[in-house]
Amino acid sequence: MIGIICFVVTVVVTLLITAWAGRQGQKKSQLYNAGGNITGTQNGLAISGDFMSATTVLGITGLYFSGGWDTIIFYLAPIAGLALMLLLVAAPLRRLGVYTLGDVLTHRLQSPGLRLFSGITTLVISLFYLLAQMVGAGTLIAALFHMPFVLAVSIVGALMAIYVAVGGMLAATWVQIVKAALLVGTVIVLAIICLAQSNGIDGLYASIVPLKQHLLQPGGMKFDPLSAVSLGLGMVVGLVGLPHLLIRFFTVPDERAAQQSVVVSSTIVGLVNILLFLIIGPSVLAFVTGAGHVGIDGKLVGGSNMAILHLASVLGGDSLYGIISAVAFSTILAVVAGLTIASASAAAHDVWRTLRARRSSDAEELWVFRLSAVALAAVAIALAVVFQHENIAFLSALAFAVAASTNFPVLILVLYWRGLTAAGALSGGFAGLLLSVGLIVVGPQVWVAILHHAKPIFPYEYPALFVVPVTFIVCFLVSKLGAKPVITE
Amino acid sequence: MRNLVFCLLILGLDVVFALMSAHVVSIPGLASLWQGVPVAVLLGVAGIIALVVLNFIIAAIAMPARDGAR
Repeated sequence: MIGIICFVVTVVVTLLITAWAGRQGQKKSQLYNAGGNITGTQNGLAISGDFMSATTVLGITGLYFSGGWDTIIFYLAPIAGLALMLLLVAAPLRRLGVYTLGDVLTHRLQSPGLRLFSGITTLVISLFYLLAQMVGAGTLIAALFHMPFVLAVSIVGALMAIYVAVGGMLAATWVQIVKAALLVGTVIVLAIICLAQSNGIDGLYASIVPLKQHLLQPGGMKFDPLSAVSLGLGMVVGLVGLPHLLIRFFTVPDERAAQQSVVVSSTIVGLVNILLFLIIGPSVLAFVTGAGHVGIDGKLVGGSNMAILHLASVLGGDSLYGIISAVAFSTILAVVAGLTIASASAAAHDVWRTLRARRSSDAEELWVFRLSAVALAAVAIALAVVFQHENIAFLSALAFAVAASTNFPVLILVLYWRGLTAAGALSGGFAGLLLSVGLIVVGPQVWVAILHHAKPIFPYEYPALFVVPVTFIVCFLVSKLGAKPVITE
Repeated sequence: MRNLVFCLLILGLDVVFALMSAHVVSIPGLASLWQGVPVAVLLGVAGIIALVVLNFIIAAIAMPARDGAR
């Protein structure tokens, strides 16, 4: 019952925020970047809300159950990615960008093709990420309210279309801020409950060490060195290339606010990750043990994503289970709102405007923006229904791999190498896009797990270590061999 | 040059932990306990804190941004 109340309150509050944001204005700048009036602290909270997805709360905690200490890569890499973002792109993005990543890439290299490419990669990355979130949300809501999966994902899809089409970036920002505050508060309370029921942190670890000490040491996930490094580097540089995070720097008034937002978000994500790694992950090992939670095969009942929900159920019964489910739901809502904003603005501002050869008016572009949000929601619902029974964990990895292999190298070279040409950026970007998608398809996550072949053609799950250097090299070689750069400044 | 050092520091820390999980980098005493908590776990927490602190340092000294309008 408490879960249902929390769920309804979450939906009502976010819709009220959307209605308020919609009344603040419907101009292009307000829908795309909240008029650039978000403060550094607010943007930092929103970036945390945008980044900490269902993967952080449900997925990695579930991974701790089987992989233990090795999940440190997933907790460490986002903070490293934010540091790299702060060092290399936060201030320049604010200085150069207006609405989309395409604005930044074409600032110096005025190429319609590059803008179109930026729009396409934004749509591809966001759709992969969106699909993973939608399937997670659908599963969660269907289990919580005993409703059909189709209805569950339709509710999420309808909400995300309303947030973006009506409230734009301002609504998405405040939904993300509320979610970040809710998530931090919930994680702190859950950690306190875990410690209280274990008689302190030494009591918690004392109950794990005799049976599962191997999970508190490196080696639980049995990584080979290249896979581990490729995963770690892919997550770090992939985060710097995620469009829905990058466009958040267009919402602040100046470069200092852009930098402040990264510091705030890294502090919040760091706090949550420390509590998850130090207390909540180990608590899953300590408390989630009974027959109702772990099957005879040793795996979690309901799938690995259910770990934190099982923990809540053990520690606080149905009430805590409901509250954690509602927070996980709000987490997903905030992330899909950010992804939809990034996709809709790329579809309208980069793809539509380029295809119309810049002849479209602002009013027409805004209609395309709103229609794109609705269309994306429809596509995401349809794909989520199709893939609901598939192992979709690879989709998040795919989003990070594509972001790492395409957006990151091209963005860094646009910002820091004046020798880059449009042809070089396009060639490198397409090479990175095709290689990263291709290697994941012929790798273990798709070729073996989904297509059921005996052996993968490419032996590694995470291709970033191999593809990112190729993208840089192709950009460099084509720029050097091709025409002179077009300087428009 | 300063940015390059920070880049190497950030990526280096990430790679070291990745190699630890693959047992390529091994630190003695990881299995022992300190105040009841495994040293390996404390090392992971220290890594996260180090990166958060690095964010503050970068914001303060490495990239002094220009104030004012875009």
